[in-house]
Amino acid sequence: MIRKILAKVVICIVLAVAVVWTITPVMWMISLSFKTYGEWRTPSLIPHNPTLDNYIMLFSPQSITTIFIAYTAVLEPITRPLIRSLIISATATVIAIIIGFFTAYGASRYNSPGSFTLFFTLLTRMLPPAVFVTPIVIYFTTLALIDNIIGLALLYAATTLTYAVWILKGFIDAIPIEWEEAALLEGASPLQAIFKVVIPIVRPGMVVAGLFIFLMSWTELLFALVLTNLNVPLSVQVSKYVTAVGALWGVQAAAALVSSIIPLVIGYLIQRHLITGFTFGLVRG
Amino acid sequence: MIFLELREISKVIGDKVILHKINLEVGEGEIISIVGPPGSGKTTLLKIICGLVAPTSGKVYLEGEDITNLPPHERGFSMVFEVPPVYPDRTGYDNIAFPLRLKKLGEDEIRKRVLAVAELLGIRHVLHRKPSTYSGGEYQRVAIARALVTQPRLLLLDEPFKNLDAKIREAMVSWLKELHKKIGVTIIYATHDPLEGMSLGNKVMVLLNGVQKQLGSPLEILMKPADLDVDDFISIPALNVVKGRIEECSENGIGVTFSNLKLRIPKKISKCELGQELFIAFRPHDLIINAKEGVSVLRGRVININYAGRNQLVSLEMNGLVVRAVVSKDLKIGIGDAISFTLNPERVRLYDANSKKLLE
Repeated sequence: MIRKILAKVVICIVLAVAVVWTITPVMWMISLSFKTYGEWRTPSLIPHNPTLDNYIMLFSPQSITTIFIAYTAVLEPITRPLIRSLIISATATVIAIIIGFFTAYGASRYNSPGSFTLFFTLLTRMLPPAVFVTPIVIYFTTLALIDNIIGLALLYAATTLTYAVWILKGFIDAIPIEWEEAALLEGASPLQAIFKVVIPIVRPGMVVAGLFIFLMSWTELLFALVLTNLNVPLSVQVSKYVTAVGALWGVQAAAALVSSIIPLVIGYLIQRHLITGFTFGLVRG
Repeated sequence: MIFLELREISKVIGDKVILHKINLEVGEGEIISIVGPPGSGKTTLLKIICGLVAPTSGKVYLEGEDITNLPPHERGFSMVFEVPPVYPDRTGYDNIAFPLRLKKLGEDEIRKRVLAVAELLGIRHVLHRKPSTYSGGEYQRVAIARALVTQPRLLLLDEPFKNLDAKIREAMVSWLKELHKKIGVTIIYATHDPLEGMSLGNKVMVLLNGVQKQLGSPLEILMKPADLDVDDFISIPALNVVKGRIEECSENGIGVTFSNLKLRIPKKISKCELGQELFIAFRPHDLIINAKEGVSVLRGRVININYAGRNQLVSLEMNGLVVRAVVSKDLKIGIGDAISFTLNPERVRLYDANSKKLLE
């Protein structure tokens, strides 16, 4: 009896620590984003003089006449990087999922391009990205893709492709080949079998892989920092509020909050698919 | 009139022979069972019939016309695969309507046909539900409905009831028989369970390791297995096989010995040679326990008892040989008991020691 209670107490403590661990930075971020300049370095959770200045600085930096004006390094309203990031992440996701699906299909059904090559594609994720920076910069300079959001989208699609392939291969492997053969027997072309049988069944997998790739592209900083100049994506913009000149902690917190809204909304909209996606292996056999 | 004919169908992949010279004639409206253990080539044979796999050699004829190279969808056959093609992402209705939509039929026509076939198979209640909510039997019936909705000329069933419990499987087999009576479609049914195959088919093909061992009525196969392998495969519980030799050839029977035991069988075989080695095979059902004293009475000691429904399966040890017997549950015996028994001489089958062929 006592042991049971003790076990429960321990579990509660562990859970409480986990909750505090995850929630605190978010709480701190929200709180900070509503604090005035003078309050940024104080530990109180509730702001004494709640203000929207940080947000005004984000969306319309020119209208600010207060102390922030000293940091004119960041003058672009955050809406522009936000739209850029949306375009980059969405493009990367769509490209990676389309190419990834057909690669995964070939790998699953015809063992092409061979298990070694397939494993080899993971290499791009095993080495630290810093290793790739120099060659990529040279390539991008040659291809005139520096400071081009499409270039960044292509780069993200290429580096996340391996996730799409591996996730979708797992899903396609779980579909018996007979399910396609049945369609062939009924007069479908091989392509129709893919589009009318395989794709509808692996759609949850595409959603899971897509969200994953979207988030990776959304938060990627290193390549974005190196390969852009004026056309910066959101992750770079967020980093810019803290510079060598000075640190706009409150503005950065507000920017981080804004940048986490899009993934949150997407995650919420597709959560139904996410659940099917994560439990796909439970199809009756 | 021969509806479907297979002539010398062989399939070789690499240096592995999957199927070796299969011959089969199917009349319209028949149910043919193909029985064989897993890996014996049943699925490949069905896929050759429906055109998904090309045979290495041999021909397929439909009503006298060579269809070996006809693409699958032009043959008008349907197949229910071992993993039935019921797609988890759509409702029963959409699953059954799938082949009709491929044929670009109007939605009204599709609706009419789907409802008709659902009515026939008793699955109207699952049409609006997704497969994850189905019971095993409903799942299989939706698969069969999808196969039947195109009104195929031939229905190929590849172990459709493999994943069901024994009881439901039995019910589904009876249901399939009823359905066949109603619609009369020609069916080729593949199964690993010889009893299921024999209870369903009016002709049964025994396929072992890609070789067509026997083709005949269920009774023929049961009473006169072509060779020891067939007998061994179709016998449930497992067949008793002992090696022996012929000691006596006379007008009213032959005497065989095995492991110092003598057995007289009132049966004549065409070539009886003294000293000829052979296999003596008898099913556990054909042992008679507590036999009266006589020439062919054997003695053994009970070493194991398994209860199986109304019967018990008893393992008997005699002179180092172990044989199994099915006896009534009412018989009070225990492990270690000495028991006398004999064999129903009519039911003992003799097989040549080399060719394993039935000696008649």
